[in-house]
Amino acid sequence: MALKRMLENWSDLRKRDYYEDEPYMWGMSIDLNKCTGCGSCVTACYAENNLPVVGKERCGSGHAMHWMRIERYWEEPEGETDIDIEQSDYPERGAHYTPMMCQQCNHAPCEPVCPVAATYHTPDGLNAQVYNRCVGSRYCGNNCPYKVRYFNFFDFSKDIPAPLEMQLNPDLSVRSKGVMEKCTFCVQRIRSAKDKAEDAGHRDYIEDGAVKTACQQTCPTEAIVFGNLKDDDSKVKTLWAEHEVELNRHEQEKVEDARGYRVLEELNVEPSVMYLDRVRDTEA
Amino acid sequence: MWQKSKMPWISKFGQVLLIALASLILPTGAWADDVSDAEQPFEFPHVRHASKFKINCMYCHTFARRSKVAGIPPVAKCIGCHDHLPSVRDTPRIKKLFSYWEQKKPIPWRKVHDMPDFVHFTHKRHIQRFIFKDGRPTQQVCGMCHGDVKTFTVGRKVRALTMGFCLSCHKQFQGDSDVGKPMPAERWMIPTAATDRPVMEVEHPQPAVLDPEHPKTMKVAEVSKLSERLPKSVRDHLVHAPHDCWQCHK
Repeated sequence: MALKRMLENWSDLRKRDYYEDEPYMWGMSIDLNKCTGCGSCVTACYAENNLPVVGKERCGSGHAMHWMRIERYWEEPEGETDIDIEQSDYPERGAHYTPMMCQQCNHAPCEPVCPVAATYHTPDGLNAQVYNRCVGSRYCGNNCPYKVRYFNFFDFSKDIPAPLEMQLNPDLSVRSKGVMEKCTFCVQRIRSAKDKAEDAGHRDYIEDGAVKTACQQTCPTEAIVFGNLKDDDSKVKTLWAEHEVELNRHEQEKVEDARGYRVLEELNVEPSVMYLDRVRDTEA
Repeated sequence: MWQKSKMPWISKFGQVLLIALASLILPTGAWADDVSDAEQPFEFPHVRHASKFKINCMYCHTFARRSKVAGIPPVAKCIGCHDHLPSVRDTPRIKKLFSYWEQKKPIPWRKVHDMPDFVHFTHKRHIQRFIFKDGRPTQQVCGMCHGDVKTFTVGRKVRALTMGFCLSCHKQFQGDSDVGKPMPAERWMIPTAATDRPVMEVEHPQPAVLDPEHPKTMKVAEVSKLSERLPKSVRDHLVHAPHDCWQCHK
């Protein structure tokens, strides 16, 4: 039966972009030129998504819990450094920050390995995680090349002192012990935007800017842009086009002045997050 | 008292027997967390408000049409009417109501329909669709999940609000494409609370990888297109709900 169905619908199933007709495909663009590594996106994510603060010790023992993290790299600038800059209060030391969260891969390595199908792909192009389905095998986290899935080793919700549970976001669950979790592209905000769009009578169209992720909303330099990649006028689509980064291409052609790339593109996992490379003036 | 009883072993035996019988009769599972008999501050008579005076449900549960939760009215709303109803002013329940009003304290109602945290359910979409688009009577629409409230005093949980219960509707109804479609008979009629039984069978829709019939997550249209070709016996057991867990789970 399954084979017959597969043969009958072969052309449909072989289609590269299976959800071509769906109105949404959420994507992001992060400009590393603008990123100052201030970490407000991380803080915003903690507040929005009911994340526990696990503390230094548990972080050290590998029980870290942060859907978004700022990765820090040091690259000493090449060439001779200017003596004036060297003596200035803010000398260029080659710090380089990369905000890293779930890349919502379209060919996600985490999805096929889940024994209970708790993680799957939504028609919106999101990599979903269903907490009440998760049994905590941690296979997905081990298969993730970006290491952005976090496991609840403890029941952190019990540590919240009495009145503070009132500040939890009711739009998403507080995860319990033994559940894997990760960035959802603030799916609760997408959900409420869809709800409003449906009230206005256009369920297949959400205005650009109506959905803002918590990190995007908080970024002081507006380095993070989020939106619908299927909407040609959206800011994020314009950026993707400008920097010639496309979905369904595992290796982007390097064009001059285009700074766009996706992290670990060569693995062909099709991430939905584009980074814009940092440009540094080393001669100065 | 137990020791002074003439046949203590019988009463003890009776106790055990009672517990054993009770465990047989009382439903378990979804009903285990049932708080329908929860002790409320006082017996609010839905029967008077909704049946005798025919007050629209949404007059008090204001948020139902525009929010996820239906909302419990503030004491001020009760007082707004009851201040002008001297005829019932001296009844015990109204006295209690006014005592809360004078203390400036909210009435500590206990939540009866409490969904688990991981469930995303919105009253708004259901109310907008069934009352405002389809133009069905309010009490009938609310009654689909809440039972025949106009016969109750305080709210009671008459349906086990399980996933199976949601799907008993949603495998036939999926959003706007079904507006105007007649409701299935068992939904259309409001069963009386006493005879209503929980839907305990859960036919979980499976995401792609667990469903051998679906090589990929199916779109709604495709699922129905494919299932049309199946024999009727198989088709009846298929769940046509969209295979997207994140629509209802958060």
